[in-house]
Amino acid sequence: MGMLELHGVTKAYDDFTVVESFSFDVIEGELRCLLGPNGAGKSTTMDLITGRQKLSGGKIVFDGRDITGMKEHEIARLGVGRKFQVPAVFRELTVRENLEVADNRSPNPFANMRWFGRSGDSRNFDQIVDLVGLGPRLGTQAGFLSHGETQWLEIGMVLMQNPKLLLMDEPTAGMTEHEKHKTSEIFGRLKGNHTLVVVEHDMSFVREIADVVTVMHLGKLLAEGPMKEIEVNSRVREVYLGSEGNGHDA
Amino acid sequence: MESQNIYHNKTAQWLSYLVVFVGLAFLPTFIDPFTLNQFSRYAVLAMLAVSVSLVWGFGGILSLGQGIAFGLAAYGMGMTMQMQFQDPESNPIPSFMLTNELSELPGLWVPFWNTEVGLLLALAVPTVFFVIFGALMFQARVAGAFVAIMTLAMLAAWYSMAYDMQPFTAGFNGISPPLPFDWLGVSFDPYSPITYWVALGLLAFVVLASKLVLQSKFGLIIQAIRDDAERVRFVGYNVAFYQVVIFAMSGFIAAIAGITWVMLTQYVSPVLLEVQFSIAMVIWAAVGGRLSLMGAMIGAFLVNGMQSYVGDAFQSTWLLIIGGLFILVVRFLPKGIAGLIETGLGYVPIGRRRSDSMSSNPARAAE
Ligand SMILES: Nc1ncnc2c1ncn2[C@@H]1O[C@H](COP(=O)(O)OP(=O)(O)O)[C@@H](O)[C@H]1O
Ligand SMILES: [Mg+2]
Repeated sequence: MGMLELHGVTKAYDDFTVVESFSFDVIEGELRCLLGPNGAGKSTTMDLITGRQKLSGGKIVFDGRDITGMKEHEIARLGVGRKFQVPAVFRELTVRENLEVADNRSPNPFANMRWFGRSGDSRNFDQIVDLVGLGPRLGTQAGFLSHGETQWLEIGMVLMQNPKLLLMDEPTAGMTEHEKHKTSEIFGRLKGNHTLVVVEHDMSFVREIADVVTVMHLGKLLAEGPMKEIEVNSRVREVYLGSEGNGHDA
Repeated sequence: MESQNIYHNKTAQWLSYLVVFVGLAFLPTFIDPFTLNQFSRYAVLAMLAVSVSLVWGFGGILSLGQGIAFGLAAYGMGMTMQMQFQDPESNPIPSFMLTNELSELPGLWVPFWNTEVGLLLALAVPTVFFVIFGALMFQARVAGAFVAIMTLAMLAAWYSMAYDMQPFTAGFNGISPPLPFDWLGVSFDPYSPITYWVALGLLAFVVLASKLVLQSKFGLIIQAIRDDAERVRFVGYNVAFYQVVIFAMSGFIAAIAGITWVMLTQYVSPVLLEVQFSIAMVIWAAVGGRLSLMGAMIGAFLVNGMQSYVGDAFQSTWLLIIGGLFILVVRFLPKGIAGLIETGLGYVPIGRRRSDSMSSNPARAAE
């Protein structure tokens, strides 16, 4: 049974269908890459899974539960963590505080009023800080981080939620080659222990990390399979890989 | 690692509160009863500034309706004190009601025969109102300027209600209980040290409780919501719930202030529900520093102190001066006086020298 199942998911604005009867299935422990040219509907699909936008049709099942129509925080609490395409962290809080907020063990405001402890001495705080390499930056206000560090912080925040499913929207966007390399190392270590869906444009990155690749085009499923097959798929080459020649999409 | 500025040191923060409150507690030994009463009033206004700092500075909710809780509680207290003066046998109805042709005490007033019930209502009604009003706003994800507009409109509605319900509220004239508040065998003469200590004690309670709440994880989540409410939802917190809690807390503090105010003035009228007054609270907090409870407190003491001692000389231009001050602060000192103190203390070396300016976290305030 899939950890995440999309059944004929559709999202339409007034006169414009952004996602059209899109279905896919991610099994536990898998790292799935979601590819597609800009505007294909990848981020919208993540919005639909996480409750940020309402479906026009279809249904979404997570971990055996129908989550269609649930609120954002309810879906998050069931164990769906998300990194946004435009990195979203709490800029006026320190790195440590960002990670502490993300540690969502209790949703109750009154319980949290009585909580003065630090996540530092709990859960996998140290491991996560170590994984994303922000140890020396814990006291820094998040607004002062570099772009790459901000991306890593948000990955760290998603991990602090201890989610069953991680949705990562363009985690290497805007990164230098060196930073991308470090990020693929992070994903290499997450792989196997977590279920991930990663939206990515960088083909070498995808080749490095992906098990199965799903390609979207104009809101629809175009192809699905191992990267080797996808790369030689003529329809994919036509709409996507071929269009840029070098395998990189903006 | 963490900030090297002593301003951000939590122990130093608690110590500074201790020094300020203990220092203020000795005031009655130095000053005359009239000035003491002035200071008691500043303490109440400081509670209001703290309530604004909490909800706006830390919660990111610009409430221009703090006067609703303050005013409702003040009316509750005014009614309680008025009924302490009435006698069930010989004098059961406040005289203003007689002139408004009421022949018996309205049901709304009956619970206020009992002082404890009166106090409880004065605190509970505004707080519950803030819970309901907040739930309606925040569940609909009203934010930013729309919150300011909605709270302002609601305040204006309460103002006209207090003004128009003449037989129940004495309208424009207001209620002036003839005797000081009397409770637990103590008569709280507005000019006595004991009344001052009550006001100061309540301010200390409000500030220290708020401080504690802000240092908890709840305080962190509230500030995260201020930064990016949308993002917090995807972490798994019910943002509206948190916003209702902080909004109601600020309302509760304003209600405590309202009760204390009437104890100090023996007078309540629709003036307390005026729009200018609630906007003034926001100005005190902004001038002092909305990101610091202590700053907000200082702002209230300073602006109101200036108003009492200098303001009279300027008369109607005083509002203009305050408005100008507000604009200057917003433009040049976004963190108010507290920001100045923070910058100043940044030059004081403690322990190791600051080596990495990035980690000194200059744009942050004390919780
Ligand atoms: N609110 C909206 N109204 C109409 N169209 C929208 C809206 N939001 C996004 N879109 C469109 O949906 C399409 C898919 O966008 P998106 O999911 O962000 O693509 P991707 O992440 O694959 O690049 C785009 O063509 C975009 O213009
Ligand atoms: Mg996108």
